[in-house]
Amino acid sequence: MFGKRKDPIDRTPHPRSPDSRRLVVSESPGLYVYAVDEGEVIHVVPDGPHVHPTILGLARPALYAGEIEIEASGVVGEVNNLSGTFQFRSKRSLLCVAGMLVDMGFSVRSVIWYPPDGATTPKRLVFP
Amino acid sequence: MRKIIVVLEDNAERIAAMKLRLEDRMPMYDCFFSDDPGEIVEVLTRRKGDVLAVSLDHDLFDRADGSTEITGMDVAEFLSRTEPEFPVLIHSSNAIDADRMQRLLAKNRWSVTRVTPFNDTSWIGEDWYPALRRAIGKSAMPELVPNAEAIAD
Repeated sequence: MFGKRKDPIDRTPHPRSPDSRRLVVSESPGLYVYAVDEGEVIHVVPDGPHVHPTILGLARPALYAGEIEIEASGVVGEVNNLSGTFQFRSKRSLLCVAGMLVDMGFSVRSVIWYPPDGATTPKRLVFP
Repeated sequence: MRKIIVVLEDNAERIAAMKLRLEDRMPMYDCFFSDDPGEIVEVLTRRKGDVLAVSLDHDLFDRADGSTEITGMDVAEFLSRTEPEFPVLIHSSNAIDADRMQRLLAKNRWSVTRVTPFNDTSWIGEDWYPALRRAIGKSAMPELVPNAEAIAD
């Protein structure tokens, strides 16, 4: 279960990227940024500079956000909470994202949680 | 104290692109950029225990003094005399000297990742940042799921 929705720190109403799409298990390998919308759907955009605000667009809130690296079809090498735009802190919600990926048919190799205060090293959440 | 990412780089455009990416994704960490190996060693010494990762260029020809003698090898030699504590990236177009740096560090058990610059600064988003994040992720400490506390938002 996700925590409360969060508005982007960048409140500029950036238009939604034309590359933004719902994540599917057949997505091509590569690095993506993601945001979970209020309907608990994971949307992705190929990685790029400051693209988190364009995943949902128009400064819409998200339930969670970060990066997803797809190593091969159906294999997530890493999912994390790295997003300067949203800066989510919840480990529980990150595990929700990982669980959604598994339910979609992905194999998830690592779930990395980056502490929001930057004072400790990242944690690899051990996912059953 | 916040963890720190340390980068030896002399090119202003590269530095701007690296800063942009780090500020966008890892704003919670301190970042230190310098074209001076001496300054890098000073920070690595003063912030020992706080260093999350280091990224080293070799050639530093854009330095104000135009020196060809002062290079990233100076930092690699310093690191080779210390115990490995964090991942090191080598981002240099000088393949021969980057190989030398990598061999020296690997011989002393440092975890080293090579990134080869290409196409102006586009490699920074395409290769350097993902390699840096992967290297940091590899050093992440495991935490069992039942212990994952719920933090608001």
